Amino acid sequence: MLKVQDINLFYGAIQALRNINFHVQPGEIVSLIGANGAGKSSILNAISGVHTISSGEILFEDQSIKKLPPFRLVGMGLSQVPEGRRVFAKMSVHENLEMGAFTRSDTPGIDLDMERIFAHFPRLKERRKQLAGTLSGGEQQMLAMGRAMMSRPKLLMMDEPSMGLSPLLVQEIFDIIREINQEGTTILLVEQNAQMALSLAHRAYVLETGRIIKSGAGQALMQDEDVRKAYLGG
Amino acid sequence: MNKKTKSLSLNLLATLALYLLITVLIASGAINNYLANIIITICITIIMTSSLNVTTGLLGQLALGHAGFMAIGAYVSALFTKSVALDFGLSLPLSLLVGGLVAALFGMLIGIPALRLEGDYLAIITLGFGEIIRVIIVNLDITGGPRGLTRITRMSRAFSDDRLLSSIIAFTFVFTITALIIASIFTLGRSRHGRAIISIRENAIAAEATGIPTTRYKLLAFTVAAFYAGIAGGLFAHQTSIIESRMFDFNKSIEYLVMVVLGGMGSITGSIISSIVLVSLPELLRGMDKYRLIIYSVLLIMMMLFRPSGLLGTREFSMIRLWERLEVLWKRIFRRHEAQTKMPFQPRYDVWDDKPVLETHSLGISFGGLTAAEKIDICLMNDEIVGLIGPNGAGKTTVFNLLTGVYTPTEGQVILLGNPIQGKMTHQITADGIARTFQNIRLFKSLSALDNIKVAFHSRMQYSPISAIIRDAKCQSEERGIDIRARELLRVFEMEAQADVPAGSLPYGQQRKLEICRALASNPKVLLLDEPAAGMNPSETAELMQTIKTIRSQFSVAILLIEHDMKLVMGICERIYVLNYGRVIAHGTPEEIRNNKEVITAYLGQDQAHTEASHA
Amino acid sequence: MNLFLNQLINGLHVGSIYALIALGYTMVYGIVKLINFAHGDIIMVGAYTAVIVLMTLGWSAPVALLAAVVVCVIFGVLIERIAYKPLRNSPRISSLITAIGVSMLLQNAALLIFGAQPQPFPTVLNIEPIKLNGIQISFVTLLTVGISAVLMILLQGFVIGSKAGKAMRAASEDYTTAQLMGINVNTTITLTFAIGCALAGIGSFLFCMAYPAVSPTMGSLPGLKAFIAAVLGGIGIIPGAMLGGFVMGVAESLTKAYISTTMSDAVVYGILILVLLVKPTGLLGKTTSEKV
Repeated sequence: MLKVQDINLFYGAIQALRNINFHVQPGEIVSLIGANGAGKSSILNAISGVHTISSGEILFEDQSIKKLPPFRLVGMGLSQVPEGRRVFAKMSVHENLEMGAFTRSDTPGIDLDMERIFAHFPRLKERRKQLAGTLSGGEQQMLAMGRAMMSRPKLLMMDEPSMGLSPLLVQEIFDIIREINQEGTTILLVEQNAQMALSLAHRAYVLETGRIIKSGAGQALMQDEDVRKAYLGG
Repeated sequence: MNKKTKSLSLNLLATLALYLLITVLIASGAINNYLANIIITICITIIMTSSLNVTTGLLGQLALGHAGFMAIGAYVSALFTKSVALDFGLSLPLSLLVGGLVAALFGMLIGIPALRLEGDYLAIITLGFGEIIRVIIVNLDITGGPRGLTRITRMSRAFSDDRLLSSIIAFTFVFTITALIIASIFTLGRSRHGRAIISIRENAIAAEATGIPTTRYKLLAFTVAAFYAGIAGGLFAHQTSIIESRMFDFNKSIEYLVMVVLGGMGSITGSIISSIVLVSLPELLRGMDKYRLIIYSVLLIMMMLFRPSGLLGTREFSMIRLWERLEVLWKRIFRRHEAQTKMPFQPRYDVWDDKPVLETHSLGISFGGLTAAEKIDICLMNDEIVGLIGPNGAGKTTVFNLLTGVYTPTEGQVILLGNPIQGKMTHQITADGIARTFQNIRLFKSLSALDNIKVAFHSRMQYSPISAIIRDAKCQSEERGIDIRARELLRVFEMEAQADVPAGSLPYGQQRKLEICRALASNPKVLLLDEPAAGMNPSETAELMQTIKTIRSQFSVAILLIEHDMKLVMGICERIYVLNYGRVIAHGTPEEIRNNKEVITAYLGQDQAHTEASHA
Repeated sequence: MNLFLNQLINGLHVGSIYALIALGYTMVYGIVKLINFAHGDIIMVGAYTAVIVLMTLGWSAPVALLAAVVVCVIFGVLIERIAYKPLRNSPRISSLITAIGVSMLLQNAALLIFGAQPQPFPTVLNIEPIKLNGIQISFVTLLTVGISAVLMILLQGFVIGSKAGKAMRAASEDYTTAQLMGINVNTTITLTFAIGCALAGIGSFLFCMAYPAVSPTMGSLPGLKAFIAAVLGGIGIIPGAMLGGFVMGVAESLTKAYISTTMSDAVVYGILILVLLVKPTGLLGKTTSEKV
């Protein structure tokens, strides 16, 4: 579904990504794990077009998307939950979800999807009239996820959904990610919490200083000696 | 001759040579009155732009009414020389001083709103004040109303009966004042006071939390800038001999602002260069009068499009150290007694064994009826590491904000080392002994790692702005002292190699470390860490745990930390408080917390409690 | 009493023109955080357009109004694309200086083309003023206040209810995330400039009906005052711009009538400073303190 071939990305003189190759199959959950500054978020930003890659190719459903501006991708079925949630604080929960469906014009379908999202996140339904800025961190994460799902993406990319959340909420969020995936959405997950990410993922890639150094099934990587030492704390 | 003295002599020689060259040219008649006048205008403009750069470049607040201060200085000093019967050689400097002081007074008045307002709103206030000053001048009798003041003594004629001599003296006078003002802005900018001002530009919240009295420094910057603008105004009045209020309107302020931005915000040398260019440019274009302003505005737009951060950005030309070097030379010649290096570090030796260093008594706060925290009773013993955990939105960061005075508690007490501190300002609390880090890192990004730490030494240094400007022995010894201390601190964290790297370009992990380092520089007894492991993977977290333990033993501080990473919390905390809905719902050892039913349902979750238990 | 009421009505008249112009400032500021100093000069562009259409071409007033709006929009969009868009990721002050540059350019170009001599603006509406117990309300006043109020309500509805309006609000909070929603931020910003300039075009026509003299620098002062009005009401807030405009207009005309003509500017700025000191984000602004 998504193919990333040999991409390189520079921030000024600093090379953030070096010859990154990976792919995502339909129906999968694929995780990217690695240390800070390893380039995980840069990969997502390169795919969504927020940053422009200097070389390589990005194919989404066999179509090149590397030159497309970010706003064109949503319509193609590619949606992103940005790092740090970034909900529209001065807009209501309802309006935030509407923004997620910006590229769609089928009102009945949108209403239906909104109900579907409220079913996943009942807390959002209680607060649908509230301004998003007044929500707690966990609720904002849910809203950011719900907002991204409103475009009915084929591939949902999530950037650090567990960041700054309490253990209980982290579990809840990961349970929901699994549910979303089981309903048929393919997921590309960038996570610091390697434990959670690997236990959830079908396949995973390990990044270090802008390179992919290891890949494999989630469970297999969890058993890997190096990965255990570096990312699982023993 | 070492490198320092060599470059000092070079700079000094260059300045002198420039002065002599112009003087000779005036004396020989190669520079006629018209050109000499332009040179004086350039000097005045340099004073205006470099002083505006103090507020706009160093403090980072857009000021749109700088010409207002110039107006005050111009009118006050013109009225002074008109009404005082003194020799002009005496009355002019006096009048400049008076004009500068009155302008400084107004600068301070205008600075007061700056304490409440930020950014563009503040810009509008300065615009408003500038315009009000102008309108009031138009409506007063003493200022000659809309017709303005005329027949002000012209300095190019009044110093001597010989016109040539008089205009040379006038030039010398203006050149000297300009050079002195520039030098003083440099030395002030490179002192602890300058660092304090720049730290506000970089991150006001962090500045206050590292012990900078931000309100006082905003006022200082506004006052200094106004003072110099007032002097420039006084010079201007005695240059042109006629002043009208419309000479100092909004457009004039904008003109100076344009020069500052074109030169590069925060770069004094940039301001100097752009003043010279932009004053001479219209003169050069005089031939094509009709198109002059069109060319000027197109150049302005192009310049911004192609060099958006100005000519020099925030960099400086090599004259920066002129003043410092002058003094080195001075010492060399007169063999003045070397100043002793004074260390700012006065560790607290008070023994607080078995007594709490920090305790709160039913601490609470409500925002308009909404209770964010209540009945918080926590205590930290000497050298203890204590965790503060709880679900998102439970009020953990609120507790930090209450302890550090970011919020004033609506009920209860905070006792630090036996003294109540609630109600104090953040910077005072920092000086009293509580330092903190932030959930999302707040470093002074464009300052070097070393300077980030130096800012935090502020509250333990004493030398005044005046000593900073003249670089006296006190200033030098203290500066040397903190340089040593700051480097020592970096060494403890194995970051000496990064001392000169701008904080913003350090890797994430080192930024976190630097923030802790900066917090320690204010010599705290209590260190508050807000999610130090956020965004770290397990191996980084493990390293952080070591660092925290090292800090506790080496710096003898009690540490209170907010964290979601249970491995870290359970691994290093001796005791843990759990917060939910703004209340402490449990407290005890990690073992007790792990098995607490209420904590499991509210926060840990069944799985987590299990996993952790099995790990332990 | 009659003097007071007449001055109040005058104030509302001027105030609603300020409000129309202020809307443009406030919308642009809301989305690109730029004090668009050239906005005042757009008024001048609109005024000259209207004069040319009315006098030189001799066409009717509605055509002139339409032409003014169209030309203002074209200028606004061109300025945005050429001068501001390349600087979107630069320090904010750079675009501010560019805006100042554009303002100077427009003024001086007009000076070159039309000369410094103010040109008279023809009377386009000759309807008897309405008299009520000694209070005189001119038709132009009614028209001005009415048009402004209607436009503001329409605009507010557009921003709150329509998809494009929501896109504007989203983009004004966070460009990157707005893009991830599928919003074309560039188009949205251009649309914002276009709407702001269209309003300025209408404003310029109404302004000329009140003060029938067209000159190259005519836009600076009402531009500055409209901007102050926007800040007074709370910048970025549409009803705030309207309220700010009315407060400014009324304060100005009452000061002129009761205190002194020359002091009116000082009073206006004084009000602004007082309001900001009490309520740092303007009359209708919401206080949002930075989360620590």
